[in-house]
This record gives sequence, C-alpha cells and structure tokens, in this order.
Amino acid sequence: MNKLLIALFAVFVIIQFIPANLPVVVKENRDDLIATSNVPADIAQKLKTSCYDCHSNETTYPWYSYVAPVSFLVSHDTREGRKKLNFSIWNNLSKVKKAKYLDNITEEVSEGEMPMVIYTYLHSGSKLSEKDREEIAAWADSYAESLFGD
Amino acid sequence: MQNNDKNFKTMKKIILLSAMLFTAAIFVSISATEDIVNNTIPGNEKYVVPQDVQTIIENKCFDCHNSHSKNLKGKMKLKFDKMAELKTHKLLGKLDNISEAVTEGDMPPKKSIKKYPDLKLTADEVKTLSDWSQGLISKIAGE
Repeated sequence: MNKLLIALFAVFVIIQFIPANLPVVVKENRDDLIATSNVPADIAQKLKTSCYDCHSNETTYPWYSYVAPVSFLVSHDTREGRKKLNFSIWNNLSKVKKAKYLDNITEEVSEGEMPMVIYTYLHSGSKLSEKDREEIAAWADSYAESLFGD
Repeated sequence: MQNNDKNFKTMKKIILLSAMLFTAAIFVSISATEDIVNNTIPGNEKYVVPQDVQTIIENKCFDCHNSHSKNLKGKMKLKFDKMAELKTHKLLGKLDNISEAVTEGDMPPKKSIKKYPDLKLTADEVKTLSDWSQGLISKIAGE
C-alpha cells in the first residue's frame, strides 16, 4: 500500500515536468465580439463568464490549471475551444462564418451541450439557467438574421 | 391432419404479413428519401440540390440528418428534409457547417464509420459536397 502511494506520488511529481503548453492569454483584442459589435450588456456578461475562458484569447487560468494532469486537460480543451470558435477574432470573420457560429451557438446553448459539464462543475458561476440559455439563443439567432435580413 | 392444415394456414398468414411489412418498409424508406427530392419549395428557389449531391446525402448523411431521425443530436443540428424551409441566415450557417464538417473529416462521425465502413466519404464526395455548399453560399450571400 505504502509502495503504491509512493509510486503514485512519484508519477505525479514526474508529470509536472511535462510541459502542458497552455494557450497564450491575450487580454486586449481589437477584433473581439463584445468590443466591436452591439452585444447587449447582460448577454455580454453571460458570454464572458460562461464561454470566454475557452472561446476567446482572454482565458483566466485558475491555479489548478497549472498542475498536471489537470493542466493537460485545460490545455487541450482551451485549444479545441478556440479552434471551434474564438470571440477574440470575431470582427475578422465573414458574415457567413458569423452566421455559422451563431447557428452553432443557438443550438449548443439551447440544447444544453455548452458550456461543458466539467467546466461548470469547476466554475460555479458559469452555469447557465434555462432563462440564460433562451436569452443567448434568441440573441444569437436575431444577430444572425440581422446580418442577412430575409 | 386438421391440425396440420391449421398450422399451414397460420404459416401462410405469417408469410403474407411479413411480405406486407417488408413492402411497407420499402415504401416508407422511399418516401423518406423523397423528402430531399422535394427540396425546392415555392418561395425558396435558392436551395438547389443537384442529383450527384443528393445521392451522396441519401447514402451517407440522411439516415441521421432528417426530421424523423432517432439520432437526436444529428436531428437537432441538421435536417436535410427541412433545409429549404430555413431562413437565409440559418441556411447559410448550415451550409457552411456542412462544408466544414466534411472537409475536416468530422462527418460522418468516426464511430458510425467504424460500424458501417461504407459511410466514409471518398475524397471526390467530400469535394462534391463542399463545392456544392460553398457554391450555394456564394450564390445566396454573394460572398
């Protein structure tokens, strides 16, 4: 038993030396969604607290995200999140790309797919209520519609 | 002897019933795929699906992406039988998602391909689908 604990601890110490390569944080982004578009303040607030850690360059890393093996997970999820949708480069996107992301936002958020459960579990304030979900989905849909207006 | 006769009649009924069910199933599957054929509804002539694209969709996408699909996630994201009813911004979003998903190899899902290897899109099919969706996008959005 003691040997097992020592072995586990040794592994824990050793993996601390493997770089996690957490994606770089940039706090000021001139092409950011909220900075460049007219996002209502309450929606902007919700996006910041529930989406921006993974879907922007403004990630706030909590202390445990520097500790392996959690750091590997945080690094992976943040990288994937930014790849799928990055609000920091919003203003550079074509109208069609915006429509695509807004369509994804509407569906992922209203169906409860996003934010990811592991994220809301660790960030208590990030959980979205039913009402929050409806508001974000309605905002995303009307924003997309305003880009093309039938 | 009489018992044997009864058994034979029951057997016949079962065979007949199976045949009927089988025929019905064929009709249902045909009418399900016909949903995509009727894709240009009055008032939305923008959405056009050429035959080659339609064949790929029917063979490799439609089973999950239709409005009666049992695959809830697939149904939520995309319903090929309802595309023509979408407003412009939704239609454009879906089309751009289609070309991204097939180009990046995210669709059909790896899990489905493992189970049904025939679902895998060939390089030609990927090109046909992405050219089609990008072509429609530029026609509709002028981008």
